[in-house]
This record gives sequence, structure tokens and C-alpha cells, in this order.
Amino acid sequence: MNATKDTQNGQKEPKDRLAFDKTDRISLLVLMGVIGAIVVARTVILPIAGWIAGDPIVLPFLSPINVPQLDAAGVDYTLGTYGVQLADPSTGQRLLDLIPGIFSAALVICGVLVFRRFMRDIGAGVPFAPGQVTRLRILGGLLIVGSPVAFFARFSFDGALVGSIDRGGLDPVIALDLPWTHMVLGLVAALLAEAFKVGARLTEDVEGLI
Amino acid sequence: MPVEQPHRVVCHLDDLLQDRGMTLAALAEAVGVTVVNLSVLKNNRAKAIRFSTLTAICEVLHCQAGELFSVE
Repeated sequence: MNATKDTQNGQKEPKDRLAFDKTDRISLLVLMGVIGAIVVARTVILPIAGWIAGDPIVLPFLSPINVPQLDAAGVDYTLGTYGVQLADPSTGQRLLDLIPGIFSAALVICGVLVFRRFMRDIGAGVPFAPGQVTRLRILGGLLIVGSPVAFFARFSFDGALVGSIDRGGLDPVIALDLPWTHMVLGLVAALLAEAFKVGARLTEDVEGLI
Repeated sequence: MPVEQPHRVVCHLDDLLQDRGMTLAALAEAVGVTVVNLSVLKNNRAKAIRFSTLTAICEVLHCQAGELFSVE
């Protein structure tokens, strides 16, 4: 990779090493593709493979840890995370376990495809092309709305499945841990959409300027 | 009055060039604008013109802005 580039009068000017070039774009798209593949494998393919193999469904389960009070040494008894196995689940229970995963995978695939289109226009040198604002808003919507919906779907469906299991006297604890990072990233995408809207308007103004 | 789309500004660069016996390439050279951009202006495909470009064109062609443009 050259550290300089030719100008019109043949002089060399230093290349902007922080510029988001083709290599960065391809790397980012590969990374997004890998993330998409991992999510699909983890949320859809592995549960289906487990279904075919007849494996039990493993469900996360939170319960307080009850131990005798030993001393006043400052021991902190917090929540215990259990992996509860639902042995020999019915078809309905399998589907209930699969639906949130399919929804999450669909969200991720949709996000990756929209992001790919977004990056394609940036790579083509037209970052403010028509449709870029819509794409950013879709990405923002997927993150702000889609992530919590996927979380609640997984949470409620897992809860329904755990409710049908004999938990051996353990009391369930509800811990709402919303995907805040995704939601904040969605807000950033929505803000970027506004910036791109202004950029598109400015580009339109400059076109045809002599 | 609301801004009208599209505009009705007509450029008379072609007539001025003919009167002065000047080519578009020579004007482009004198003004420091590309022939392509001047061609866009001449064929009424320009949406806007910088005051600096307008000043340079008027200086080279010895004309006023009103001679270069009219609203029809």
C-alpha cells in the first residue's frame, strides 16, 4: 500500500492513514458476515441440531442462593445462575425455544444486509446517496426496538418453558437486563441519519453549482 | 413568494461568446473554470453560480450579470 498518492501536477502528497479505505470496508463487511453467521448458528442451527439429536433444552434460570449464615465476615450471597435442562421436550416446547432465536437471527440478517447497502454507497463515493438516511433509520429502529423485543421474546418464552419444569423448590428471580448497548447504538444510528439528511440536502444544493 | 421549482433563469453565454468571437475553451482558460462546467452553464443545466465565477465571467466578457442571465 502506497503511503503517498499522485496529485494533478505530479507531486506526491501524504496519504491520510486514518481514511476509511477499501480494506477497512471489506474487513468490516467480513466481520459483520461472521457475526451474522455466528448468531444464526447459535440461535437457529444449534437448537435445530439439538432437536434432531434429541438433546434436552438448556434454559437459564436465576434463583437466590440460600446457605446458612456462617459468620459476619461480609460474605455476599447473591443470585445463582442455573442451567436447567428440559428433558424430552414436546414439539411445541421445541418451537417455543426456537422462535426467539429465529427472530433474533432475522433481525441480525436484516441489519447486516442494510448495513452492506449503506457501506456500498459509501464505497462508491456517494455517502449521501438517496436511501442512506432510510437505511440508517432502519438500522436505528432494529437496534432501538428490535433488540428489546428480541430480549423480551427470549425472556418470556424461556420463562414459560422454565415454568413447566420441576425446579426442585428453587424460587425463580426475574432480572430484567435490557440490551442497553444495542439501544444506545440505535440512538447513535438515528442521530447519524439526521446528519446524513442534512448532508444529502447540502449535496443536492452543491450539484450544478458552477 | 414561494421558491419555484424548477427555475426560469436563462443563460445567454452562447450569444455573448458569439458577439465577442470567443470560444468556450478560451473563456474557460481565462476564467479558470473547466469547459465542462461552462458547458453546463451555457446549456442552462446549472442550478447555481458562485459570485466569484460570475465576476470572473463578466470581467472577461466585459458584461453585466443582467446581460448573462435573464428570468423568463
